[in-house]
Amino acid sequence: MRAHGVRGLDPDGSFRANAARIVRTRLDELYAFDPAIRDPDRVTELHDMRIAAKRLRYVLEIVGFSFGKVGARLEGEARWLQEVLGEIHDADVLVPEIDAHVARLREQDRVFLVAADRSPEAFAALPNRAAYVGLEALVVATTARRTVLYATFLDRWDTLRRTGFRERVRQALAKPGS
Amino acid sequence: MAGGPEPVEIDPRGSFRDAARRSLAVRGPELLVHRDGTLAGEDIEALHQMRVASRRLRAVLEVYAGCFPGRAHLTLLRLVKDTADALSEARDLDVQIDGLRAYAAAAPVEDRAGVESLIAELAARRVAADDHLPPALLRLDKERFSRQVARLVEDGRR
Repeated sequence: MRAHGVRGLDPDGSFRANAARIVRTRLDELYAFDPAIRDPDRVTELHDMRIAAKRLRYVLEIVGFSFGKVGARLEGEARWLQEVLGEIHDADVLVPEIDAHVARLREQDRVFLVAADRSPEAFAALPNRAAYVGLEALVVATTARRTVLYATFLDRWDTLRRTGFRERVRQALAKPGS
Repeated sequence: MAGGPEPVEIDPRGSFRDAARRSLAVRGPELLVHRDGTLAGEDIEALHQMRVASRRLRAVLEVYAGCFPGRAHLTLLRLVKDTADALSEARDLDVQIDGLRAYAAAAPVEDRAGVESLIAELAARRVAADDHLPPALLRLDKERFSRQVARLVEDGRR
């Protein structure tokens, strides 16, 4: 996901005024993923929101100090969002990884069985027989974890929205010398 | 760097350009602090720290993009991005393998063979990722990374 350009930056202008413009743009980028991310299956949008949270976090690592407590709080929220969305993304990557691995194991076993003329002994001794159950359980554990992570993320995100966090941040950014 | 990045002295009432120079002067050299450890490949923490440094430097170059001469800035940004990509490939696999090892250790015995077969596959990919690291990190010398940073810091005055 490409970051939006920030308009109106002035290298010779004040640090704080430029910083506020950048933070506002990155904050708007983050919020633009709602409502898409209310669907847990919107894997791409959840991943892109993680990237937006990461960008906001790293910007705040650089400029956040100039906005006092609001800057620190926003950096903390951005970090939290980046981490939880990162874990959701890890699960979204791992499940297809496991599926592809199982497909390779199946293929190895198929080749083995054909080469052994599909004998009952060969069927009992499939090279990967012991692997399937653990990989299936890993998929179940990963998707269950993803469900819990998504619920945790949405709950906190809704709390931020309900409590007007974005508006308070924007007000603080707009204050001269805040 | 484990306890957070080294602070950069910035006057919020000063100019954005001045902050850009100060930030680059600190975050630039930090990229090289863990390079030897990463190249040695004996401590995955060195790789992790170098990746973090690459992200911080990239953020500085992106935030302050308008404060540096376009072409020199783009050349350095590209070099930092490519370095970060090479580090990420290896680091992501380290994290994935660590997570699966922890899962396997807590899983029922009958589940472990499958997870370990997946770990073995990822570990083979991790070895391949290791092959990509030295060329990426040696490129920092080849393209005179430190000199690029020093020049950009100097050019940022104008």
